[in-house]
Amino acid sequence: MDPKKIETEGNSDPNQSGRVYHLALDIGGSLAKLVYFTKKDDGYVHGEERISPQEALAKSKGSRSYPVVKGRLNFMRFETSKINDLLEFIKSEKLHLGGSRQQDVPGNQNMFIKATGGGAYKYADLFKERLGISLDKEDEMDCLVAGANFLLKVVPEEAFTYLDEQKQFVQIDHNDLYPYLLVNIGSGVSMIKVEGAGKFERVSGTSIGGGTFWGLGRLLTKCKSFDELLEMSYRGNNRVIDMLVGDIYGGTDYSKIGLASTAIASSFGKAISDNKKIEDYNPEDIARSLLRMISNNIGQISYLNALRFGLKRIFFGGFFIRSHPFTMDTISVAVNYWSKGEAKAMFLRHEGFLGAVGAFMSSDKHGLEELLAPGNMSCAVDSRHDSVNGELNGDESIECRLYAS
Amino acid sequence: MAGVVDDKILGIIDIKDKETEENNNSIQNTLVKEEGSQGEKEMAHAAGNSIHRSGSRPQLDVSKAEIQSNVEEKYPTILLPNQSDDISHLALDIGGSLIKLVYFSRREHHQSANDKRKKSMKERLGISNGNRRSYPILGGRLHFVKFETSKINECLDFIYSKQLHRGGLESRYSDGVTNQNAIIKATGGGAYKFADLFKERLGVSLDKEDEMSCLVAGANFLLKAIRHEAFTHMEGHKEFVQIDPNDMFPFLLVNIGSGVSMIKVDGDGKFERVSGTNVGGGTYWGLGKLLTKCKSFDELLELSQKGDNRTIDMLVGDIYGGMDYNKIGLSASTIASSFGKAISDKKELEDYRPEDISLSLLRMISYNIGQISYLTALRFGLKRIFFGGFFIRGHAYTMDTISFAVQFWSKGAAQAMFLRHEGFLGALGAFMSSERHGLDDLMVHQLVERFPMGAPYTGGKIHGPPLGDLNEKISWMEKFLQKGTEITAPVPMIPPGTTGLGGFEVPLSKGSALRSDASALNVGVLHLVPTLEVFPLLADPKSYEPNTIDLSDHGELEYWFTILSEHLPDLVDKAVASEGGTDDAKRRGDAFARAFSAHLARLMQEPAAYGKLGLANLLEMREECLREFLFVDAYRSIKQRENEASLAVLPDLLMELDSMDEETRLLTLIEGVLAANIFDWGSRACVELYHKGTIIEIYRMSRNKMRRPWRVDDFDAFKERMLGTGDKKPPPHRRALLFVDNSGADIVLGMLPLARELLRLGTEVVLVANSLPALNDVTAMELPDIVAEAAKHCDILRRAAEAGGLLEDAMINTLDGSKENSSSVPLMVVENGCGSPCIDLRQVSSELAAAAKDADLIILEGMGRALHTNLNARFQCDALKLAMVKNQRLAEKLMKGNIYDCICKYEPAI
Repeated sequence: MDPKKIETEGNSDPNQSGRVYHLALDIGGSLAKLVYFTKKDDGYVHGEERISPQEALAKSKGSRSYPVVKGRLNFMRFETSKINDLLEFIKSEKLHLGGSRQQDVPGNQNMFIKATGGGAYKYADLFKERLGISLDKEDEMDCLVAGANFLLKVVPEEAFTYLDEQKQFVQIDHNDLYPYLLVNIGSGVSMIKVEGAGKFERVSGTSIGGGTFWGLGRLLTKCKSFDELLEMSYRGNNRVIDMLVGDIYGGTDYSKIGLASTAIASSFGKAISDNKKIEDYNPEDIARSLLRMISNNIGQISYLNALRFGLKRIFFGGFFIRSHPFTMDTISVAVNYWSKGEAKAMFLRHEGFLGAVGAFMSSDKHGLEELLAPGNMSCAVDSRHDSVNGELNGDESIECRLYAS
Repeated sequence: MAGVVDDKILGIIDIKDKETEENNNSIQNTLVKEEGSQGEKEMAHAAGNSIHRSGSRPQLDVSKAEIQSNVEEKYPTILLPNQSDDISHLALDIGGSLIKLVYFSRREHHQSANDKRKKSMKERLGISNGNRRSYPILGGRLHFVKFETSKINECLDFIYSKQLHRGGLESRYSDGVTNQNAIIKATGGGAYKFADLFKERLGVSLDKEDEMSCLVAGANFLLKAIRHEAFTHMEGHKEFVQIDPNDMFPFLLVNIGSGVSMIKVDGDGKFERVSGTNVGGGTYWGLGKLLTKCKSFDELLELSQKGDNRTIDMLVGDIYGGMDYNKIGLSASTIASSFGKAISDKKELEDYRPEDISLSLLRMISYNIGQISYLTALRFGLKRIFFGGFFIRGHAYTMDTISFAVQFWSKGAAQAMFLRHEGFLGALGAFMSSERHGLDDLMVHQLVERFPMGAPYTGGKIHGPPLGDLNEKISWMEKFLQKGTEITAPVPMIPPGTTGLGGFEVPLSKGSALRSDASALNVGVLHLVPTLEVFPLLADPKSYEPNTIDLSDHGELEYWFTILSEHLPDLVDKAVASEGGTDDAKRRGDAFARAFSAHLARLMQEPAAYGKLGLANLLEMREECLREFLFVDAYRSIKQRENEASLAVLPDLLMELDSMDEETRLLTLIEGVLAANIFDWGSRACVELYHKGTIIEIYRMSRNKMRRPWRVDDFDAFKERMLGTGDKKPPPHRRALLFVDNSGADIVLGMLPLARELLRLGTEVVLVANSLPALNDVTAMELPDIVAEAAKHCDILRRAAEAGGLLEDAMINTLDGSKENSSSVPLMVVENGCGSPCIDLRQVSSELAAAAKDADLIILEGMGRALHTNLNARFQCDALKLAMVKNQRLAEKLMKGNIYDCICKYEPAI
C-alpha cells in the first residue's frame, strides 16, 4: 500500500470506515498471535513535532519532509485450540478486508494475509473457507528474526534484564546489535544466531519448552489454561517436590563443586522417595517445580550455545515467558549461574509477537511494508498503550508513525 | 551379580576326596593348577587348604574355627575356615535409590613348596624371585552387588553374613574380629544419612569419600582395566570401543543419577565438575511416578518399551500439518515440544496411556542430557563422552536416545559412549580410594571377567537365601525347570525390581517386548590374576585381536551356537562319567547343561551381553561353566587312555622317523603333526572317526592322506629356514615355544616328535600347555608324565627332559649325576595361563612370558590356538601355524577349503 494512496483508498472503501488495516498472523502450536495496524483518523502528516532517532536518521538522508502515517500497531493473542475465536475476531473487526490486495488480479477475490508458524499451513484451508482469504506463508525463522531486529532497533525500551525482581531496560546500540542469540520459546524452543538483517541460522533448540510446561502442567495439575498454570507457579514452593542438594547431603552444601544446598539436584526428584500420589501434592508446588525445571534448562542450553558461537547477548522471546517475573528470573539465574556472571539474559517486551511482527514486516508487495522496511522507512513510537499491570497480555498497542522515504 | 557368593564347598570336598584316592602327584597337580591362577583354582587354596566354605545361608560360620599362629601372639588370628570370603575389602556407594557394593575377596598365593616343576622352571628361565615377584602374589575377585536403598537392611545383612565389614587383610591379621573400629569406605549421599545405622548394626564407621572423586576414580579404573568396558549404542546396535589406556584423557564423564553431573576428567585425580543438569533420573522417576502411578523405576522403564510418544509429544509434523520443516533440517517426526500435545486436547491424564507418558518422558530427558553433554564437551574440546549412572541401566532406548542427541547436535562428530559397569563407578572409586585395596597399577591383562550362573537376587515372588553354594545353584536351576520357565539368560546383574540378596524371580528378559532388560549388560566377577602378562613376542600388542571369527555376525553366532548345543549332550555324558557317574554328578551335569544353554540363549539374544564376543570367549565360557559346576576335568580318563595308547606306538614311529633323511623327516614330522591333530574331541566329525579304528591306524591313514600342497602350504619356506638350501646350513633356533593342543596322538605322535627334532638340531624346546583342562587338551600338569614316559624309549628326549628338569617333576628318579653328563639343550614345560581351547595372547602366564624372552620360534598347533585364534596374529619371531581344519564351514570361510584341509602357515620374524 503506497502511503500516498492510503487516504484515497481508505476513503474510497466504505467498509473500512476510514481506517487502514494491515494484518499479519503467527499461528503456533499453542497460541495464535495477531499484529495489525490501525491508522489514526488524522491520516498521515508531515510531522516534525517529536524527533526520534529513527526520524533523525531518516531525515538525514534527505532534505524534504517525509510522508508519515500515524497509527497504532496492535497486538492480539488467541489460543490456537480456539482458532475460531481468532477467526471471529478478524471477521468482526473486518481486519481481513484490510489485508493486502492482489492488485494484479482485478476482481479482488484474492485477499492475502501474511502468516507464519506451523498453523499457517495447517489452517490455510480454514482461513480460505471461513474468511475467503489466503494465508501468504512466511518462514517462521525469517519472521522471528525480522521481528526481533525490528523491535530491537525501533522500539525504545524493548529489551530488558530481569534479575532479583529487578527489571532493567537495556539500551541497545543499533549499530552494535549483531551478532546475538535469539531464543524463541514457543511450544518448543528455537535458538537462532542472528548476524544481521536476514542473516541468521537456527543453531540449536530444545523440545522442552512452553508446550512442555503447559502439557505436563495440565496433566499434573488439571488447570485449565496456560495463564492459570503460570499463576499457580507463582504461589508454589518447588522444594516440596524437587530434590535439593541439601536433601542429599543432609542439609549441607556440596561446596567443593560449588553447589549450594538450595540448588536443585533433581527436578521432581523428591516425588520418588515417598509414597505420595499426585493428589497429595499441591498443584502450585508442581507448577513451580515444572516452571523452574524448564526455565533453568532453557537458560542453560541457551548459554552453552551463546558461548559456543561467541555471542555476548542472548535475547529471550516467545509466548512462554509472557513477562512472567519468575520465569524470567529463573532463566536469568540459569544464564548467570552457568556463565559465572559473564552473560545476561535479556527479554523483549513484545516477546510473544516476534513472529507476527516479522510477518507483518515481510509484506513486501503492497502496503505499509515499504514504509516499514529498514532503509525505506522508519517508525517512531509515540506512546505505548499497555495493559493495566504493565505487562503484555495481548491487547497492547504501540502508537507510532510510519515514515516513507 | 554374578557370583555374590562363590562358595565351592562341594569342590573342596571333591578335591579332598581326590587327594585321598589319587597319588601324590595329582595332589601336586591340583596345587599347581591353583597357582595357575584362574577362577576355580582358588577353590582349594588359601591358608593351607584348611578353609572350607559355608554351604548354607549367610551367617557367620564358626564351625571348625581355630586360632592360628603362635599362642604367644597377643592377638592371635581366629580363622573361620568355613566362612566364605576369607580376605576381603569393601566399599559402598549409597545413592538415593540404590546401594552399590563392591568387594574384593582375595587369596594369598603362597609359593607352593612342593611345586618343584615351577620352581625349577623359574630358575631355568632365569627368573630370580627378587626381580619379578618379591611380594606375595595377591589374586582375588572383585564382586559387584546392588541393593535398593529402601531395603538397606538386606544390604546390612549381606555384609554381616559375609563379614565383609571385618574384612581386609590387615584387620584380619592384626586386629582380628575384635576390631570394633572397622572402617568402610563409602560415598554417595547415603554415606552421611546412614552412617549411624552402620555404626549401630555393624559397628563400623563409614569413611566418607567425595562423590565426584569416586566417580572419576571408578571410571578411570574401568576404562583402564577392562578391555570391553566402553561401547557405543546406536539404533539398537552395540559396539565395544577399544580405549587406549595411555590416551584416554581428557574425557567428559556424564553421571546420570537423580540429577546429572558432567565432569571433565584430565587424569587420575585430575577432574572438574564443569556442568550438570537437574533434569535427570530423579526427574524421570519422579514425574513418571506422579503421572503413571508406577511402583518402581524399572516398572516405569519397562512401560516405556510399549509406548508411543507421538500421542503426547508435539512433533514438527503436527505443527506443519505433517510436513517437514526442511529449511532448518527438522523432519516431521522430530519432537517440537515434549508433552506439547497434552495442551491442545481435551484429554485428561487418565486418557493417556502410561506407556506413552513414560516414553515421552524418557525421550525428553535422555535427549536433553545428550544435548547438554555434547554442548559441554564441545565447550571444553573433549572428544569422548562417557555416560554412566543408574538412569541408564543398560536400557537400549535410553542409550539410543542419548546417542541420537549427541550424534544429531554434533552432526556426527561426537559419539556417546557407555560403560558396562555404569552403576558402579562411585562404589569402585570408593574402593580405589582405600590405601589397601591392593589393586594399584592394575593392568588390563591381569583381569579376567567371569559370568557365573545363579547369582542371587530378590524382589520377585519367590524369596529365599542367596545362592551360597553349588547345591543351591543347582536347585535354583531346577526351580526354573519346575516352573516350566525357559531360562534365556543367566540372571542379569540387576534384574528389574530386585536387589542383591536372596530369592529368585523369573527373569524378565524374555519376549521381544522387553528388549530393555534383555539388553542389560551383565556384570561379571572380575578375577584379578596378577601373574598374567601380555605375550611379549606379539608384533603389535595394541592391534592384536585373538579371535579370527567375529561372532557379531549373527549367522556366524547361530552356527556356533548350534555346534555347541549339539555337542553339549556328549560333553555332559563325559563330564558326568569323569566324576564317577554318581547321582550328584548327574545333577551337576544337568545343571551345567542348563546353565550353559542359558548362557548361549542369552548371547544369541544379546551377543554383546558379556562384552565383545568372539569364538574364543564362547569356548572358554563352556570350560568355565563346567568348572563352575565342579567338573574339574571332564576328559580325564579319555586323555589318559589315549596318552597310553599313543605312547605304546611311539617307539615304532620314532624308529621309522630316524630311518629317514633329514628333509624327508621334517616333512613327515609336519605331516605327522597335522595328521595327529585329527584326534580332537572338540570336533564332532573327529569324534565319529574314533569309532572306526585304533589310534595308530587313524594316524597312519590320516598321514598317508596328506597330499601337498596343503590348503595353506608354506612348508618349503619353513624347511629352508630349518635346513637351508644346498650346503648352507642355517643356525638353529635358540628356543622354540610349542603351543600344544590335544592329549593322546596329537601331543605324543605329533608334537613330541617335532620337539625331538628341534632338540636334535640344538634348539631349546618349551612345550606350552594349558594351565587348566579344556576338552581333551593336554595340560601343563600332565606333560611331565607324558614326556617322562616317552623318554623311556628315546635318548634325545630323556636327556633334554633331564636338562629341563621334567623328569624330577614327573617324580622319576634319574641317576645321580646324569645332569652333569647331559649336554642336551633342555626340553621344558610351561603353562600358558588359560583353561580354554583357544588362547588370548594378551593374557598369558608370567611363566610363559618369561620363557618367551629368548625364544625365536613359535609353533602354534591346533584349531583353537592357530585357527580360531591367532591365525592373523603376527610375531616378532618366526612363527609356524599348524592345524587341520576339522569343520567344513570354518574351512570354507577361512580358506575356501574343505574339512580336513591342512594349514601350514610360516611367517618369518617381522
